[in-house]
Amino acid sequence: MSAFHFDSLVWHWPIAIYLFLAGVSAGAMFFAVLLKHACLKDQAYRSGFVQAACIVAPIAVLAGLGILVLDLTKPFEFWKILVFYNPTSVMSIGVVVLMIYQVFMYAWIAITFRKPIEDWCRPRFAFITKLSEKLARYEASVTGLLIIFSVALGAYTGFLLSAQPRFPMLNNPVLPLLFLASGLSSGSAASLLGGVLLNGNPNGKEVHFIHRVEIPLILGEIVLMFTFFAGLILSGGQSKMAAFTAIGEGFWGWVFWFGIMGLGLSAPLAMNLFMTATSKRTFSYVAGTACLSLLGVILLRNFILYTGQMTIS
Amino acid sequence: MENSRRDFLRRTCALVAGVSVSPFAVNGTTDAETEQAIKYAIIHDETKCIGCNACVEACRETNHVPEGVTRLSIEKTGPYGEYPDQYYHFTRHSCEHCEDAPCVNVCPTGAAYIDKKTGIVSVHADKCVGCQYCLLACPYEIRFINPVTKAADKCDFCKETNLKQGKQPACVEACPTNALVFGNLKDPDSLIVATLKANATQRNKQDLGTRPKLFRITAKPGEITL
Amino acid sequence: MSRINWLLMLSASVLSLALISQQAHCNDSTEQINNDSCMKCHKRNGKMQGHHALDELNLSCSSCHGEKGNHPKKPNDLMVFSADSDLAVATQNNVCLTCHIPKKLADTEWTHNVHAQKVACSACHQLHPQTDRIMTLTTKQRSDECQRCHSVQR
Repeated sequence: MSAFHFDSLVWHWPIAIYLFLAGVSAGAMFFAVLLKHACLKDQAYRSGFVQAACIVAPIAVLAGLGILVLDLTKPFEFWKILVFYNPTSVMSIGVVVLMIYQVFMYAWIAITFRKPIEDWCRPRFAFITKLSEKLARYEASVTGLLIIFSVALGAYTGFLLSAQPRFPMLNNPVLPLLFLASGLSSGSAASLLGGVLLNGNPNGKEVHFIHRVEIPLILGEIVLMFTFFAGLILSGGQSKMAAFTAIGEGFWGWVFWFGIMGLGLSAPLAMNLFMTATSKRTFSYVAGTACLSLLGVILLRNFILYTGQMTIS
Repeated sequence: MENSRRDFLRRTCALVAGVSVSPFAVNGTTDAETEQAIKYAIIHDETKCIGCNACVEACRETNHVPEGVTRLSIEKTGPYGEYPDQYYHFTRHSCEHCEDAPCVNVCPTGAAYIDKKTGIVSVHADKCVGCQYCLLACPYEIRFINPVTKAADKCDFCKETNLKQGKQPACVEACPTNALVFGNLKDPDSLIVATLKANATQRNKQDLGTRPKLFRITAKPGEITL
Repeated sequence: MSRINWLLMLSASVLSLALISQQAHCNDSTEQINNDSCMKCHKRNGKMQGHHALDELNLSCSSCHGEKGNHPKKPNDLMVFSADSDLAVATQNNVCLTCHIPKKLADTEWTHNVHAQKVACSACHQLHPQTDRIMTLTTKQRSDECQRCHSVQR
């Protein structure tokens, strides 16, 4: 059985990239909200990290949807997904979540960047300031719903794969949680990377804050990863077989142990602990750690997608 | 601020409650299901099958299935025994028309559906966008993308062809050894009900809860597998 | 010196030419079996064509049908291969199996295994014509072929 071509393979890497991008978007928005409310308050729009998150989130979600549409066998009929709904289909529910998520995402961005937007619009389009004033009244609701929908979107990327009985490794209740946790951490990594590239201070309070959240998040991911595979192995039968095919010898075994567990989780965890302990936060440390986290999440999505489809029940 | 937060919580709770109850509302159709007059199923008698592939050819011709893909195939295992006294096993690989069909559950547009009148699992090719979620979800691996329509395709018991003309499905008509029995499970006088009562049958992957309607009368095993 | 070279080259080219022409001559030649002594009487039965007629195989009519013996008087030891032959299936098929190995037959076509004791090779294969029809069937014709024997009254 080759690593990328086997009989039972249906969904290829574009789906993994889509799942990754949706996770990045959800995670970036989640951390942008946290940064604003727990750390920066009204000054959020000045922070390079919040700006980065607000740029990354819409681009990632739109790029992900673009990839998803191009991967259809009838790309020009994608609108039918938006017109016809099936309440039992996770994909259909996911489309609803994605659409609502985007509404609140744009609304929240507009509220957060209200000041620069109004400053720019006032001499040109005065009516926009009225709109933003109305929108700002609902800030609490928008923020709350954005958090709910970004968590839902992150979890949806896992539910999409787990909601079928054919592949025992994917049909696993821990998968949505694992994808949610890794999606959030990829979002924080993307915000950090974008933030330092936008001249954010690598030793600023945003970075301190994100690192404080990220360390338990990575530890949580490792626990979830352990639960995921321990659960499969203890279930026996095809589940056990699937787990050993995935993390045993072979190409994907290397990807898992070296790429995901090593570069994607252990290295960023060590770097975060090191930066917290020594208070040395330079551009290269922060950017390097973020790149490793992102690489780890891309690898995880592909690893789960491909190895998950190798063993059937 | 305090007010809007309370407001927000109230609305969110209402929304969550509404969304979580809605699937039950959809499942409320079980009463109609029990009164359904027709429920088609098929039996493949593997003790009679000779592996001639007449069913496959007939299906291709009747349903205009393009070359390179198929709605139906006969899988051969063997030979068992020693030359010159050998034999093979033939198993039918086609849609099992599950009562609880994973393909129908996952389809985002409702293109995959269970026909209410007949229990046949079928596809609206026009509604299908080709996300291939059904190909991923089907535990029997019988779905494929039709290279002409670009939609997911599968066996529909010739619903649009032979059944419409009051005939048996093409595979059943073509079988030279009467290894295939097609009929209505709800009709107590049908041949399929009589055959099911008289024979020990098996269904594939029942533990997945799919409740398939392809019944197998299996041949002698030929070898011991642990 | 140069003359010896010349002669060498000449003889080499003549030799290779002769070999090539021999090769061309051998290709698909069925002269040998059709000049068999049997053909003196059996001309009206047509020519022996097809794979088994090739000179390389070095077969004669008697290779399969047996020695002439009393023929044309009866009884004789000649063998006839057909569905209405008096010979047992096993006797007929053993002639084919002197050259054809069951394992190889099974590898090229699974139906050989299941019919080995039940059907004569000649029920499906025809050796005399240029092409053996069974070797060039479409998938549809192939399943029709099965139904010649395997069919049940409805």
